[in-house]
Amino acid sequence: MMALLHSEWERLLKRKIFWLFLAAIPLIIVATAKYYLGHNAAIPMGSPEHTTAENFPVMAMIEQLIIVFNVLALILLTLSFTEEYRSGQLRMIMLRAYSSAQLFWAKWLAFALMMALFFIFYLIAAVIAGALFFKSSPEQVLFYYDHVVSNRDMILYTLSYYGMAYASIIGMASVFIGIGVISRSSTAAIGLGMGFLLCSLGYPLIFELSNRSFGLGLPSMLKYLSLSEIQFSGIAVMMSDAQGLKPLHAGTWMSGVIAVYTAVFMGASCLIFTKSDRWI
Amino acid sequence: MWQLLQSDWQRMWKRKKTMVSLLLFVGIVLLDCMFLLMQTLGAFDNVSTVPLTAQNFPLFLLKEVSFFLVLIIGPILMIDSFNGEYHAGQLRLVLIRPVSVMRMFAAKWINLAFMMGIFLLVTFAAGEIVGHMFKPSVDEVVFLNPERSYHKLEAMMYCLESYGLFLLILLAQLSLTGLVCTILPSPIICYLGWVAVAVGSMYLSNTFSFLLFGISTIFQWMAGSYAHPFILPVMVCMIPGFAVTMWWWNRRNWVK
Amino acid sequence: MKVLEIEHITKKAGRRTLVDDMSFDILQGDVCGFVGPNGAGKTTLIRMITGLIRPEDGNIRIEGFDVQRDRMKALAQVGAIVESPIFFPYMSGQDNLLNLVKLHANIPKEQRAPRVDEVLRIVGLEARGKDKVKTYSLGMKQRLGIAQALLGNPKLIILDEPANGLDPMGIRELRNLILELNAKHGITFFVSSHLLDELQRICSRFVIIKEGKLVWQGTQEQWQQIAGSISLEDHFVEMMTS
Repeated sequence: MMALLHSEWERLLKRKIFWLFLAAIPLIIVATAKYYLGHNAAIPMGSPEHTTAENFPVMAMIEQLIIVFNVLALILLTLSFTEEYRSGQLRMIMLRAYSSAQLFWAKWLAFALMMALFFIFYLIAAVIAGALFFKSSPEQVLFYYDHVVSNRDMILYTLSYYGMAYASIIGMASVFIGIGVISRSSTAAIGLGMGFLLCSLGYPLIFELSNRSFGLGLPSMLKYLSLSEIQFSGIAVMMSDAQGLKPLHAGTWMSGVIAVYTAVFMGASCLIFTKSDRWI
Repeated sequence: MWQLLQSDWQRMWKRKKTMVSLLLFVGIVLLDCMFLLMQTLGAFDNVSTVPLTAQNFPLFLLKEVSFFLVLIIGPILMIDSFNGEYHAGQLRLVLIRPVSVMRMFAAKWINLAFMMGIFLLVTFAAGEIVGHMFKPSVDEVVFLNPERSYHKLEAMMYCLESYGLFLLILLAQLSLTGLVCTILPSPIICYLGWVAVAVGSMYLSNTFSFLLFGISTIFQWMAGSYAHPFILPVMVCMIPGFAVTMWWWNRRNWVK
Repeated sequence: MKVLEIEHITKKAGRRTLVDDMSFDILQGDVCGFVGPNGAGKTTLIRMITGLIRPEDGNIRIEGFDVQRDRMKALAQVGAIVESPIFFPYMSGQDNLLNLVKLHANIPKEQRAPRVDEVLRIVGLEARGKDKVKTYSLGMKQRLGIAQALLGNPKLIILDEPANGLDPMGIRELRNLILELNAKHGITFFVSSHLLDELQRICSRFVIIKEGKLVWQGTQEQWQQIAGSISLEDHFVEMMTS
């Protein structure tokens, strides 16, 4: 299994796109910093939206998680699960003495490791850019917090934020893998994946609207059935420290949603991947 | 030229993806119609809203479906035609025939432009029909600029003009995607390239935000409140983008 | 009468020279074998003849028309299979041909469909023409490849490794097809292959290359003379290893 993982990992590393993205991270960070510098001019100091050296890593993640990381995950998974499979490259691996379930999990693990690597690199780049571009502040104002936090707590907050962002990407990835496994062509996989992303983005709007206009009175937490909504505002709500939000158990609910997405889609994808005939 | 157009058009429709995209798109348009019918107000942005009527319904429908066109259906059809056929080695069958490569590129561009027009026409027709069937028809309607009101016919022209501007944005996207597809190797990378161009150019300058947020650009431009140049950058993306790519196709080596 | 003229053609990829100052002619009515080991530059030259890639130096003329300067006129004289024939898999064989025949200006509109039926009949695919290409076997794809090469009534047909992956029956059919088209319609053939045995049975002339350079050209009889008592295959191996 280790050998298989190693082979998957090696093939991912050999792809230009890996290096392309790694090289793009500093550019993305600088562009984000530039954007927030402009933004800061219009935002007063005490607002959680005001970017400081300490909160820049979290702000940079908020800004890029939905588009950059989701799209990157979609592309990597399409390459790994659709392109390699449908173009017959995977035949070279399938002929060896491994079960397709092993291959499936090796692919997933290699992806998860690679994503972790991107997150770490992104964090490091953001910490450096934060120190370079923004003023330091002795304490931080956070979204959904009643009180300010010290810079030591901010480090912890940043790490947990990245951790949850990573978990949400893994949840999103399980859907993309499902799509990748059933798609006949890579463009179809990308189209369906982007479609899922757009629908996830649209769902909270429709949910809130129908809740309001039909007076359904459904709990507001239901809008976090959408993974992208968790990425958009959910992580901050989940990690909030405000008395008013405590009874929502947002953390448990959203972790549950991510876990269910992951379990259902990974289970189904693994089943399809291992049980279908290989006409390649 | 006519033969090139015909031959490419035929191949485009024989690809299952084209028909499936169109059917899915019609489904999305209808769902978005239902979504809009649940509302009484149409929103231009987070602040400005106006009552939804038969007269402005097509405009708000375009807003709802625009992302699907710009981010999914548009790029997929464009990449399939500009890069997918070549990447799979199929284009060789065309390239070895006595046809001009420049004209072949132009044929692909024109066909895709026509296709985008069809998608917009479907949206406009659905917007007009559903709007008039289910929403109140009013004599005067205002859009984003509250000081200017429009009669029925004027409102329809307003919507049509907005659709036309959106088509221009799609054509700018078409030229840029053509260029991306010429530079980058495979369809997947091309898609990533297109997203990078659309998102990246926005960080470069707000002038290019029309590529991703075309509809809000059009709302503001039509109301006379758009702060950046619009038509010129659209034309710069579209025409030189087209010309450079066409020239490049004529010079390049076809190795697939 | 020269059908194809290759004059001092050079093609580089980075620092590597793929084709190095190559010159030869092919005369009308020839069935010319283009021989060389894998990676000798056969496909590269064929890509240049069909206008897919540009040489750094030199000229290629087909029926007197320069491929670079008079691309359309030159390509109107050629039909080709470059590498394996890849079709539009989502269409039937017949639809593929109907789609492509539009691109030959010399075939008027009303003759397109009859022309497609005719080439399908020539290659013996009339019964399967309506099936999707993705259901075809390799041999059928190869035959459809020849059909698409025939579409524009070319004077010259270029085939790149046409026997690749064919079974013995397929190879024999292909051979008969080439000989028949050559005899009946006077079509000149330029066939690349490394299956010498096969080429020996159909080719009147040979062009032999190695590492991008022309090594020898001449008729089959001339080759047999210089090979002397050893077989052409042995002589070929000798040329390639010396």
